[in-house]
Amino acid sequence: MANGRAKKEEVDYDHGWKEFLYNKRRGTCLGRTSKSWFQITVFYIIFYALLAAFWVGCLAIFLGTLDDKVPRFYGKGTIIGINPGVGYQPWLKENPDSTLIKFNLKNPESWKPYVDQLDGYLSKYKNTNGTRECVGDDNNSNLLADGSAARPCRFSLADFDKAGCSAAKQYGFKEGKPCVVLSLNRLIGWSPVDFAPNSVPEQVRDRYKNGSIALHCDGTNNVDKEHIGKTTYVPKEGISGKFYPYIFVDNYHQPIAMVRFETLPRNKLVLVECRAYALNIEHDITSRLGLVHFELFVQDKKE
Amino acid sequence: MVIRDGQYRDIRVEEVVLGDLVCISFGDKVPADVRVIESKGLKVDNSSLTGESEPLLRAPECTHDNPLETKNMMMFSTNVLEGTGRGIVIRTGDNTVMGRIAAITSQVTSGPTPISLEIRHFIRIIGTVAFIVASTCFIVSMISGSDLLSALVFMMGIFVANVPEGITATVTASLTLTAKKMRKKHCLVKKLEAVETLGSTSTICSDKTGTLTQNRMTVAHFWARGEIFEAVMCGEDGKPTGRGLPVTGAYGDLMRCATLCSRSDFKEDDTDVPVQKRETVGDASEAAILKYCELVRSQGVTPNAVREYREGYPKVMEQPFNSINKYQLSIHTGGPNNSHILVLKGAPERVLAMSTTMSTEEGPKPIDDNIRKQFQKAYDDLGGMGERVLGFAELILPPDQFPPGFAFDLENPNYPTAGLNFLGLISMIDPPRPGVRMAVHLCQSAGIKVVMVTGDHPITAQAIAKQVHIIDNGIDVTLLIDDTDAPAGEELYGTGRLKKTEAIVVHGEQLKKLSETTLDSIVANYHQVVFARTSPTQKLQIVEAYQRNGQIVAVTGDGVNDAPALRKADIGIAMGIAGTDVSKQAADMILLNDNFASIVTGVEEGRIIFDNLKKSIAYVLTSNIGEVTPFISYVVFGLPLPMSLMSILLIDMGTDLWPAISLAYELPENDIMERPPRDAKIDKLVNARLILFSYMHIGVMQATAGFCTYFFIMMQNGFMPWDLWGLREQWDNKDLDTVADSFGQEWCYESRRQLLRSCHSGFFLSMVMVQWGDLFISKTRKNSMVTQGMNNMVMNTGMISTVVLSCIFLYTPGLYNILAQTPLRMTTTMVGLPFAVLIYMYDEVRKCIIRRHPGGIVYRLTNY
Repeated sequence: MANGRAKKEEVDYDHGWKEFLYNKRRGTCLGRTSKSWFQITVFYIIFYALLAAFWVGCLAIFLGTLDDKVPRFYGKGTIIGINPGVGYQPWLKENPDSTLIKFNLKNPESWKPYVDQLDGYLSKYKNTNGTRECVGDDNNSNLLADGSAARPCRFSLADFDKAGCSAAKQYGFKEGKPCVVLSLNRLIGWSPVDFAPNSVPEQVRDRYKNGSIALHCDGTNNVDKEHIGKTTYVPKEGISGKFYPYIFVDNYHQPIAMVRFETLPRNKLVLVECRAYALNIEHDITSRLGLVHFELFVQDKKE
Repeated sequence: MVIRDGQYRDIRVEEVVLGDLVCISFGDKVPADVRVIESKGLKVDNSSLTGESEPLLRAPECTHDNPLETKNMMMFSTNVLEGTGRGIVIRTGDNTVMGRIAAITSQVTSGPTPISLEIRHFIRIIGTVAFIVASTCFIVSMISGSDLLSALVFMMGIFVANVPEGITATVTASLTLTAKKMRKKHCLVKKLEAVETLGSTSTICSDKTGTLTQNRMTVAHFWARGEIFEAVMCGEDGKPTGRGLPVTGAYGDLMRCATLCSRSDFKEDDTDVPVQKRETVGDASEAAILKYCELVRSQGVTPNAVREYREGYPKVMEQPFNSINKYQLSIHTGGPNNSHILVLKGAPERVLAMSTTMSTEEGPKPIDDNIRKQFQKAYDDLGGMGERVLGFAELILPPDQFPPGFAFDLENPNYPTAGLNFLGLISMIDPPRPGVRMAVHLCQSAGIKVVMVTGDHPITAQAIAKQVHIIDNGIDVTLLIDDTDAPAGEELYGTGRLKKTEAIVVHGEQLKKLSETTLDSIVANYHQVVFARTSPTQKLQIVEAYQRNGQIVAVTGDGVNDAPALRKADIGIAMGIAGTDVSKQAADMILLNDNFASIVTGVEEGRIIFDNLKKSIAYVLTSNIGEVTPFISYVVFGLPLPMSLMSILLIDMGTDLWPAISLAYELPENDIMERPPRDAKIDKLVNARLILFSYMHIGVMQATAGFCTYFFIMMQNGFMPWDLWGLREQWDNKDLDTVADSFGQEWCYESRRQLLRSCHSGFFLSMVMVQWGDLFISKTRKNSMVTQGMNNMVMNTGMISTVVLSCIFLYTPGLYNILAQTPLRMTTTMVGLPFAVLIYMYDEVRKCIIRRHPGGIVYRLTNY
């Protein structure tokens, strides 16, 4: 190639946007001929198909290393940890950013969503397939060993009905004495540990029963504490411990308890904090472990 | 010294005005443009103006229309070497030729450098891409129901991910690095960006004298006993290369004459210096002959052989050269039988006319037609090689007529000047520098046109051009050198005088008459071009013509006359030793050793810069996809955010930075000097192919690696991929503490946040890992990494640095909280590895296909 003698290839450009979009002279659209577009499409389809296969393959291999009953990491030293959080119902999916339970006694429509939510939430307990009656000391502790034959204990809503927190009574909303469901976060392998008889926290000392997780609700701040009034716990001793530990099995009945706010003030917002008590539940305000916050607002003015 | 009102006055140069009569003698600097009205052996050095290294005789006669050519003009700021004279000032200050050059120089600019254009183009592309992607995501997230603030945050995140933060540093690093490397190779880079310009250069307009040639007259050939011999040259060690002819017979006589008939001598007894480099007095051709004689006589063994030889033949009389006689002669004692020897040298035809016999191996022979024919042929041959030819003759004066002590009279010659014995011819040329031929060849194989632009004569220029292969030997050359009438109108390649040949030699006088179209046609169609006898403005004109032709032009020059062209050129290269300050000022780069070969290094370095920048950009851009897709999946698929803004910043401004810069240190690929220079219109720094390949191939692979890690961590903690789909809203709900995973466990917000953090760390780490693969493949554009090797230590340490950095980010207590990261388990860190290997393998296969099928579909799709 003496002195750049090699002839430069004649390069034809698209001149401007219009020709880039469609160039009649070269028969190109967006700078490519139809053949070129075809080739490039085929190339990318094959390329991405193979890549996706590789990706799925990798994931499948990882999946294969996992147990289908328990996750790789659970319990102590993992991210989920061994300190359960507390959940409450009714929590409205339609308004997910709010933990406010607000209704007007004069307006049945205002509490209907809460009742519907509770209906839905509690409906799973009506399904008793694959569960068993656990009477007396019978509990879920052997479930893990039972493997696929495991039949978890059945949770009965009878106590709630007795205490006036039944669906028929619209969970007390109608009377302005709403029942709120409290639950402990399901953690695989977690069971409550009993307090030593003399170290039971004073908030729950009168109600505490070994094997259960006692609950206590109070106002978040001092003002709220004045307003919260009388609270009744159903059942009295809190969440029953016989349903623990949780395992991943069909139709596991998560034990719950309810708290009924008997004398809520009208037209006042009350901030409520409910704590669960067992020896192995620590309360942490910042990470909200072992406790839950929600707000109650009962109105009785005509709208 | 001026004469005003009939009186001599000593005034300062600034005070010289039009019409002053100035008296000039050797050693002076001409104070203005002066027309000579009286001269005695007046010689000036116009080299700073015209590039002509020869001292030029000045005389009152007007010999040419061109003020630079005519003999009765002396130009401002040139040096007077010999003689005295007087002249009338016709122009001063800015109006002088020199002043006008300075004006032109300050007027022309070469515009933005190619690299800055490229970077601008790159910024535009990246800006557009980032804007489109970011605003699309913004719109999608607004539609999918996010609030304005978080939508804005994500838009910014995507913006940040798309902007390659390290590029500025990389550009500066590679330019500085190269400038440093160039300095070691005797190139001083004045403007950093100029280095890259050199790499994209497609035409080099090179000066002849001093750049291509040594700027030192050297005896090249001699003609004795009817044959042309090549003269022995001085080797590097100061000894002659080859032995040459024995100094006897006719050749011996020629050498005697050459040694004696000279006014030149070595300045000092610095015999340890190689002969070629010793300083001499006298003009260039005499010095050349002197050095040749010294070389031949000493054979590198006996120093000062010429001086000793001359002592054996003391000079008794000398008649210096003048333009009327066109010869010089001297008479020495020491001839056979105590006779005198008359030695004479001069214009060959003149010397031959004065001779009646010619020295041959068989003794003197009368000059007949045959010898005349031989002489003419030799003279033409040597002249045709662009060499300056001198004829030599001698006469042994009969001792009976000229006894020892005879008084020779210079004024009234009492010695014969006819019937001499012709000895032969010696021809001289300013030879090409060693290595220039190779360098020119390298340039040509790199697709760069080397054009000679010189103030020298066309024949000499052409001869040198042939020697250094700017014009190939044995090809047809179109000559535009006759001073015929101006051509009518415009001429095109293949018509009129522009014959269909590869090569052309254009005389400056002709250039002046050519129309712009004709010049464009010459520039576009001839591949081997020599411009001779060019004036400063013409050099500028030539540069502009090439630039109009779409070439990126480098210009070398040393004289003041070159300054405008140096300024106009895309890159001006000045000579460090021979160059004038004006030219150095105007240039972008200075060759400290004046050697053309250094330009080749510069071209290579420039191309390396461009390549490495490309690689670096490809490397940096690739990770963008892995950084953007998490946000897109968050918005579109409702996955809990797989990667945080913080992690993006850690990659872009942390781990990616050093490797990206280290690509500036990457060694060149082996085809770097074999491919044509890039076409500034098509071969952009960043083109669609680079973006497509980086984004759609490697980038997607990287993203899959990141997502793989993300899902892996999620799976290990209980969230199966199919359950993550659309979980975003619940997941991000600060008040919701009961988000169930695939095993029915319920997660409170704080635990979810922790889990997501470890996903972010996992994504980050796998990106770091696949960027390793990317770094490996970015090392080369075509070669396999196996051939390229791992000699880039900056990069190797850079790789280690990414590991160290990510360890610091992830495992330093306290720091990882600030950076929103979490320490990861060993198994998790390894998830990205198979993908890094996949990327490497994929690209090796791709490059292999490109090497096997250059120009094939894979090449067209992916070669950036």
